[in-house]
Amino acid sequence: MATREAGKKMIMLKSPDGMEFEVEEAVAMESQTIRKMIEDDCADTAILIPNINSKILSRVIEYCNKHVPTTGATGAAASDTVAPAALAEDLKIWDAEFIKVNRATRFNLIQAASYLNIKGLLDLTSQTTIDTISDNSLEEIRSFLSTKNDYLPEEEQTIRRENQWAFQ
Amino acid sequence: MTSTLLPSHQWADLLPDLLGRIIARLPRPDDRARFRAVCRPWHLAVRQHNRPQLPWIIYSDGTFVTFPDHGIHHGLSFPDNTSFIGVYHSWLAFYRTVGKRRTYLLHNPFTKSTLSLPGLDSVINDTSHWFEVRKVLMRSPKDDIVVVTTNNCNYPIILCRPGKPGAWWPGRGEMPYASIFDVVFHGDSLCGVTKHNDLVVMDIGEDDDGTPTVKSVKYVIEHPPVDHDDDDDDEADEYESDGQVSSNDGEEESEYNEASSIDEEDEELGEASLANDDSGGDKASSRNKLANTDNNFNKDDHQEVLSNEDEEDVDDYDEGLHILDEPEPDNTIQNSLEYQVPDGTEQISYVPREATDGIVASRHLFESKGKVLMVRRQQYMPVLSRGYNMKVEVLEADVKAGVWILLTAGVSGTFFVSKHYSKHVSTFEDAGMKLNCHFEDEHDVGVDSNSELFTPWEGKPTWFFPQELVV
Repeated sequence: MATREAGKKMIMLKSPDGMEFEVEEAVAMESQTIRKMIEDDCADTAILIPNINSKILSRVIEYCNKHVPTTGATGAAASDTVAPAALAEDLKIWDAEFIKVNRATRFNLIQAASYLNIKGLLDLTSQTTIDTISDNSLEEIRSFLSTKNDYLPEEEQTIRRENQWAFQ
Repeated sequence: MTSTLLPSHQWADLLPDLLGRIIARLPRPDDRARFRAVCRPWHLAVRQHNRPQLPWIIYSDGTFVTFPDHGIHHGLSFPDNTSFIGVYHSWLAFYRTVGKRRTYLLHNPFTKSTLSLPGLDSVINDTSHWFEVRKVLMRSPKDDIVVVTTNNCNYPIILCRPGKPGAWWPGRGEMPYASIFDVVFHGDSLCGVTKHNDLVVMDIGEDDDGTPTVKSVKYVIEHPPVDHDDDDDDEADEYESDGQVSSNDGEEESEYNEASSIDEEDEELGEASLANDDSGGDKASSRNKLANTDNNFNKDDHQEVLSNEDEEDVDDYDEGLHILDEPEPDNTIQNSLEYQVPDGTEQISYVPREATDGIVASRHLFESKGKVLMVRRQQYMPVLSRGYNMKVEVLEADVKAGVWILLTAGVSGTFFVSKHYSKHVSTFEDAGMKLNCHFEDEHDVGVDSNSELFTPWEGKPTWFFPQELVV
């Protein structure tokens, strides 16, 4: 069973489309949702992650691999000689590249980050979403975020009219 | 191998949280208005997560701070090539330099509407280092009249209409205007408080061209000279005849006693802001000075000290100086700040030209539910660190008795106080912050160790009330 002495202990994550990802426990525990399951001994050797397809899950794991604290688990890859500020700068650049994805992927990533409760990824994905919403028209927001408009035409008219000043 | 399946219904539970998280980071009401119009779940999320809007503190570069989270945000867009002057509620006031002159405008960053103020442009010709627009107010709810106060005694108060040419301003150095340090609208009239804590009501009418003008000025609180003249009584009676009050001479006497009792309290603190004798004396002498319109100044002196502008402006300054406190012609003027309209602050304890801690009092005028209130703040100002409040008190103008009443039992609602805009809001009962009186410098996070570094002078932190959002 899972224990707190993570070491090199591996965890199997399964996506609903049948793919399996073997990751170090420390990497998986970047997700507070998975961490809680492991700590509560709810997790067996494999955890099924519902609603997150293999494409998104692999990207999430890629993010966690990069952001897992460099002590212990990632072993040799960690460099103690790099100053923390430089490391943070490096991560920032990496994040900026990481989030350069199409809007559907980004939306899936934000949902995955929310569900798996990965704070860094949630901040990163939310911010790009916020940047998209801020200062853009309603039509642009819907299009950028691939959000379905479920208002009836007259409903939408009312909801716009309530804050007419914002749609001028 | 066994699998642990997470209950899928959690997914639906998580989404509103996610949306709430995004909403929290979209503080602008225009963004939220569009957010709620995207689809139904987003509308629901805005309803759940939109808390009553607290005002922001806005800085001269468009940075703003939201409360109660003290979140620092950037990117409120200002019109091109403008300098930030101040705030009126949801409006931002700017000037734009065109050649040697400035044009003034109001801009609402949410509705994106802009009001030009050509009337103001035609009056203000002072673009010197010392010149400052202190406040910009509009008469609500019609937003039909704009009032601007400045520190230049040639035009301490200017009235105009948005988008229209034409403006009214008092005669050069005319009292009481040149000693008024703060104004608020009270109904359709404008109230002003002078440096001697006199409260005047200015009735606003318009001339033939539709330019707003002050039709009449009445003292409703006056700290009279011992032998105060009958004219002042008439003015007070005129106000009283509006049906608000009635009084006789006997009552009047006790009113002054009441005023004196406030004085005593002040004197305990070494303050003399309500000193009746001083105010009366000064006012009387001011009037005398006004009468003497031929008073001469050495123009060259004033040109050198007060203005580096063209000849035309020098005349303005010259005449404006007639009313000032130290009008001896042979006095060398050392600091043009001394010749500005008073700003409502007083040095209570201060050793000139020595680096020493001081106590400073400032005063701010408010209108709330038909009452005129004044917040007085005493601040201890250490030389090397930020000041802190020694005492904050609220006074209410008792029009009937003609005195300021110190409100000791507390005041409902919240005062948001800043140099360039202040407002009393009755709906926020202590909004999660310790006092119900919030001075912009107490919440000033403009000193951001990582990036922006403002001095209060250039950062101009000012309370700002974003557009109300229907959720």
